[in-house]
Amino acid sequence: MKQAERLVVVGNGMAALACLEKLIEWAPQAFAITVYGEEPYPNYDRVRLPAALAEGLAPEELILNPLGWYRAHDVDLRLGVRASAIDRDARVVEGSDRSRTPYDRLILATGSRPILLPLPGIDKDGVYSFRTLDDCERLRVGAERSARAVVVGGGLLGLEAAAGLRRLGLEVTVVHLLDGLMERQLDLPGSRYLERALAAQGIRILLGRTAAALLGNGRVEALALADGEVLPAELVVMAVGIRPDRELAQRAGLACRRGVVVDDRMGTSDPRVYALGECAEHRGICYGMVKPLYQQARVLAARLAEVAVPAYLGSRVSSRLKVSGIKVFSAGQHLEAAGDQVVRFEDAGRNVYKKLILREGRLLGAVLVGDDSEAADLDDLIENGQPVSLAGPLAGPSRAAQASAGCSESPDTVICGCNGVSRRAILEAVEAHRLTTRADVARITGASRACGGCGPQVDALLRLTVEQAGPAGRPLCACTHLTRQEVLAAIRGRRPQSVPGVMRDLRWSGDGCSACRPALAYFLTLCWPQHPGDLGASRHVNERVHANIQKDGTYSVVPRIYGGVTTPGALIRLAQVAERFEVPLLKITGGQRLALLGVRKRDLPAVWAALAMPSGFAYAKAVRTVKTCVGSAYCRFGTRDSLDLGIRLERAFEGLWMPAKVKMGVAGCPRNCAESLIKDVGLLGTERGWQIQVGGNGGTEVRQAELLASVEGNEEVVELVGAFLQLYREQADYGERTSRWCSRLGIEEIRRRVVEDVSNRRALLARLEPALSSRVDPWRERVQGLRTRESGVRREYERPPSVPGMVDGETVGSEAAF
Amino acid sequence: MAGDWLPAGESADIEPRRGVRRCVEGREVALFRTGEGELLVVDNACPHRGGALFEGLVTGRTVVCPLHGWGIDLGSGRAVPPEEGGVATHAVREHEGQVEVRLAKSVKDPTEER
Ligand code: SRM
Ligand SMILES: Cc1cc2nc3c(=O)[nH]c(=O)nc-3n(C[C@H](O)[C@H](O)[C@H](O)COP(=O)(O)OP(=O)(O)OC[C@H]3O[C@@H](n4cnc5c(N)ncnc54)[C@H](O)[C@@H]3O)c2cc1C
Ligand code: SF4
Ligand code: FES
Repeated sequence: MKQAERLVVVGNGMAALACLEKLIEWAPQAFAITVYGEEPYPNYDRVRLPAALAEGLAPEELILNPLGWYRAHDVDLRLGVRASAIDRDARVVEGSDRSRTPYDRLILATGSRPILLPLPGIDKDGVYSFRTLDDCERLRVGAERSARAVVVGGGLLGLEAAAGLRRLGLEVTVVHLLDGLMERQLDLPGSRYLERALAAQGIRILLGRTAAALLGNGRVEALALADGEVLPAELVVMAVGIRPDRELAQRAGLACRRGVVVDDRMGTSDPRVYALGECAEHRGICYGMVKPLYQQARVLAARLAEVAVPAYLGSRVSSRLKVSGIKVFSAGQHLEAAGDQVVRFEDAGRNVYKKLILREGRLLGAVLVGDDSEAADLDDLIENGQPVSLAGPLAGPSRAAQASAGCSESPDTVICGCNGVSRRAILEAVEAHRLTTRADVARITGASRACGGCGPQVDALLRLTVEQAGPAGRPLCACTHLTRQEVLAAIRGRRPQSVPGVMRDLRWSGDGCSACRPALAYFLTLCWPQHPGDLGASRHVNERVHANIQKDGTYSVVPRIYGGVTTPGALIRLAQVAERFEVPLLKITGGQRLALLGVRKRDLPAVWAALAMPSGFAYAKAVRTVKTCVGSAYCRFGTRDSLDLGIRLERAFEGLWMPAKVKMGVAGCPRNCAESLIKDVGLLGTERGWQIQVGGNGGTEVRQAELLASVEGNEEVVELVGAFLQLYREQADYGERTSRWCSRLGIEEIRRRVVEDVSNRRALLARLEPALSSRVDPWRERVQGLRTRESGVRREYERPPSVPGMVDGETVGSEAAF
Repeated sequence: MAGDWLPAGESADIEPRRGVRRCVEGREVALFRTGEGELLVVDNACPHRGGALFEGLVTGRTVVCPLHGWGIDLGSGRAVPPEEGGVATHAVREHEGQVEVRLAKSVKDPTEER
């Protein structure tokens, strides 16, 4: 293995690290790398500085390569050290810390410096540029002490600074030399639409004006314009432009013009020295965006790693205005030349402006203000220059809507302009790594990591792949890469344990979330019904306390009333309890039973004891109610005894944990007085027996149930319903009601497994048995727990202990709760 | 001068990943213990609509409000984006099985103090 070459990099920014990441990937250990970074931070995402200003993001949130990254890849990072000189003969770089680092190869990625106009008073306090993280921090501190800000410069950067300061509540005025804002991206009409949108946000725009001097003693108090007008301001941002940082290269005798001149493989006039990013000038162009630097980084890394990659021929750039909430997109040529065809669309009402420039039937450029839904589509057309009919691109919203949903596009459409990530690349990464969030996609493919403009399209693609893969295919949640099946198999394969135990064994990332913690609790009851363990900490409060929390912290109590049939004794007890505990609301529910609402938490055990009725599980992912009609016991049309079967079904399956709540209905004849056809399990009595209907829903997405089977007697009903419920318990996604699960799996498949495949039905019932036999009434269990002073129950339900010295052990605030 | 330390019950009363409700000098606070055993204390009323935070699901250093599912970062008191706002946080310490709380002066939620 030949001895590692010494590579020194000047500049610790986005271009340098994009190149190093690729180089280390392609030629690990081939170079001993040293990086000089003037700024006191490891490489961070400069593109998101405007968002950091507006939303007060902490520096850590912008870091792209934490210090650990440099260590892990043995990169010697000289943080906060400026490279002060290059001795090309001795092939040594001198640092401001007087270090001398020899190199075999040298990369210059020094970026740009903001241009500071040499105005009188430019060095007063309160005058800022907007280039670095420190600039951003200083600006945030300055903004807190200021009410009025002036931004000199109406380009992309100046407007993003203005929008950020406006978001922080300052009065903002933008002073721009030329007659149109963002003149390198917009034409004049486009600028007018942008001006209106900015004015609507309260940002004042002064065009064709020149800054002359900064007034104030010590701290800036106003900006004087050349025509004599004075703009009072406690904060001034200089955003008049940037200049490639070529000073180091120039002093070292490298060929420079506006930037450090490089060839198509990023080489400078010295064969051992390369340059890329904003400091480099390629074919006369100095780029100020990230897309070119990523392309340049790839070419330079390939050259150093001796990997064959096409030469760099320049970048076609597009830009978006971030932070302001105003949709602005510009790509390719924004000003038409003689002979070009121009298509313009203006809607003053919605303040939308769109312009396309075509030549010989090809799209050369696009300017969008107010609506950028066609941005990716148009960018794609400009990039690959395919012939375009005039009607095509602006054919109307439907095409744009389709485009933004990313479903009908060609796989090669570039979704993320900054990193050149295509639709195909994203879909493949989502599939390969089972990605579920935009952050995952950004981390793995880079899409939406830079400016975030394509975020919505990444979301659309995620939704697209999730639906196609179906819940079985995607991870349980963001805390794991395992699917629901894999987690269940892992839990079944181990001995019974706690939720934290499962998270540890399956290497969960973090402490789980509100989606997976309750799901894991349910999986444990499904796999190990006889070993419940203490799952309280992972249950939603209702399932932990076994009552429904109300908005004021009190609870509702809904006891079982099997099949809606009650007795005088039960009603008397309910009435007495309601009176004794001063229950504020006693109500008959839609589930044919009585609810006591507004009960104080500390009264719950006493109320349960006094009621002496089992819990109605009105709060749980379990069987809730079995509604019945009068049926053949009394009704003149009654063909079947719905009361008897309803009560039997409720006793048979009450208290069984389910993926979501289950509601049943038993009607004694096809007139369906128990609304069986919108129930998870609905029975309809007929001459020949019972129709078992499943997958109905009467809530937010009303769905009619589908026929599972027609059977003779009650025995068969209970058996088939049991097998159906067990299949649902094992197969449905946590939180998925039978209506959605049945439409996903299909009634034929369910019928096959539950009805036709008798041995499978038996296996389902056999697996259901241990769960049925280990059921206990949670209310009675807790009432007994209190009697035996069991600490867990006391901690949950007893009024908090008043500790000696605690001024007020009693509780105030929502007294009703206690 | 910061306030003084006030008793707030026993350490053993606060199990990992659970919250309890205490009233300290008339102020209703929620004490939480994370999975790693760290104690964190915030005002008990959720910034959204006053939900009882102590009944919430504790995941890492976050509690998920029981009423409408807002996440509250128990370290900073801030609501987890995209929700905005937050609750005041209080200093807490444990010594020989006893928990003590030092109430923050401010009543306002932290995001407004920025
Ligand atoms: C008490 C009751 C209203 C009443 O006074 O009649 C009720 C009360 C609540 N329902 Fe309901 N539902 C009640 C019958 C219904 C019905 C009708 C029925 O059961 O026949 C439906 C439509 C049928 C259905 O669900 O298929 C119904 C559809 C919902 C939904 C939407 C479910 C869905 O899948 O679309 C929710 C939301 C949820 O469950 O997440 C819901 C959620 C709730 C919650 C639990 C809201 C909550 O999570 O805190 C309510 C508790 C109120 C409280 O403060 O205690 N409630 N709810 C009924 C109790 C029935 C029972 O005895 O258990
Ligand atoms: C506010 C803002 C918003 C932006 N928004 C976008 C956007 O939306 N889309 C987009 O595509 N681009 C955007 N950009 C531009 C993008 O951030 C730059 O194109 C990119 O950062 C250039 O990377 P670079 O590595 O060439 O230069 P830089 O990122 O500037 O990195 C150069 C680094 O080298 C250091 N350095 C310089 N000289 C020396 C030396 N002699 N010794 C040691 N270290 C040295 C500098 O301190 C700096 O840290 C934005 C830029 C700013 C400032
Ligand atoms: S319909 Fe809505 S408001 Fe009424 S009880 Fe059901 S959940 Fe509550
Ligand atoms: S009250 Fe807490 S989320 Fe609504």
